[in-house]
Amino acid sequence: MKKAIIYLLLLCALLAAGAGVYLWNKPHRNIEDARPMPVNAAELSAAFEADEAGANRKYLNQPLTVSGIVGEVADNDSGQMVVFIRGYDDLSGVQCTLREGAANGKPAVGNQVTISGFCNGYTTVVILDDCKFVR
Amino acid sequence: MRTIYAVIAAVVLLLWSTLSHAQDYTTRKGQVQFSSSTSAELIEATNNDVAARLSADGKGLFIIPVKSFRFKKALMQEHFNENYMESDHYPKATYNFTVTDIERVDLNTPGRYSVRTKGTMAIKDVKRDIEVPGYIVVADDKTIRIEADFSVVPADYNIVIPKLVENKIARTIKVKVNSSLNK
Repeated sequence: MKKAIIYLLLLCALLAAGAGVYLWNKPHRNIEDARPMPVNAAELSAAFEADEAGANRKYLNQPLTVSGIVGEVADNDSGQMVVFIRGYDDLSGVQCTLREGAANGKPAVGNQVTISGFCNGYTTVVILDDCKFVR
Repeated sequence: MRTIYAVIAAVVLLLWSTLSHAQDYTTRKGQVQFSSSTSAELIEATNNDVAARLSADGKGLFIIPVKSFRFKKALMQEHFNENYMESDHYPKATYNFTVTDIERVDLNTPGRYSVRTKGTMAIKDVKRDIEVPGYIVVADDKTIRIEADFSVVPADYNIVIPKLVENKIARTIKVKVNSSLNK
């Protein structure tokens, strides 16, 4: 009986340790595992500019697939590729930071592009992170 | 006649606002990092999605999308967003400031100028008037970089650290700003 209790306690301790190790090492969110909602860049940027709180309720934290025209391609200070998709006017748009290893090829300014990523909200443009190219 | 005056006034106003904005330096991908260092744990995060603006008269603004802070560990990132910053409710932090000694800076001459800023930091639902020293670095190509190192006390901004993890999170968080701005 005593032995059974000891084994049971040991099993519980092992399970707890396993869960701890899993949580500590769990991977970052990955756009490959998500089912993004399609939206075009003009519509998305207009939604945030018209009603930021309402757009946050709808889009914040959500995986999105955004389509539009490439306005700028540059690297950020961490060396990640950042693609800016033009919004409904010259100042608005969606800033997409490609996740590591996803920046295969550089889209040309003026071309149509489709990018999936997670919406982190709005600064002066809509922010999309952990992105990958769809086409 | 009145209409003509109104039109002239409108044109002058438009020109003035265009010219004054032409002097603004901006970025959408500025960098802000922070670190919390205790004997138990070192926690670091980097944000490359910071929007910043600085006008020639010294008025400026930083807008920081909280969810863009990237941590090494996904679990830390989750705790930061859900438990401490409540970023679903407060998705951005801002610092609306004035460089109080902007006259020391010659935006046409490359150099590293030490400056003082004074403004309002808004994190979560708390706004505090603070002063932050820093540098404006004017590069050869006339772009500028804003550099600053300062501390933030989480308790000042309604960020409650549970007793259980108190020894893992520093009472003051070190913040580092390093953002390049273009005209």
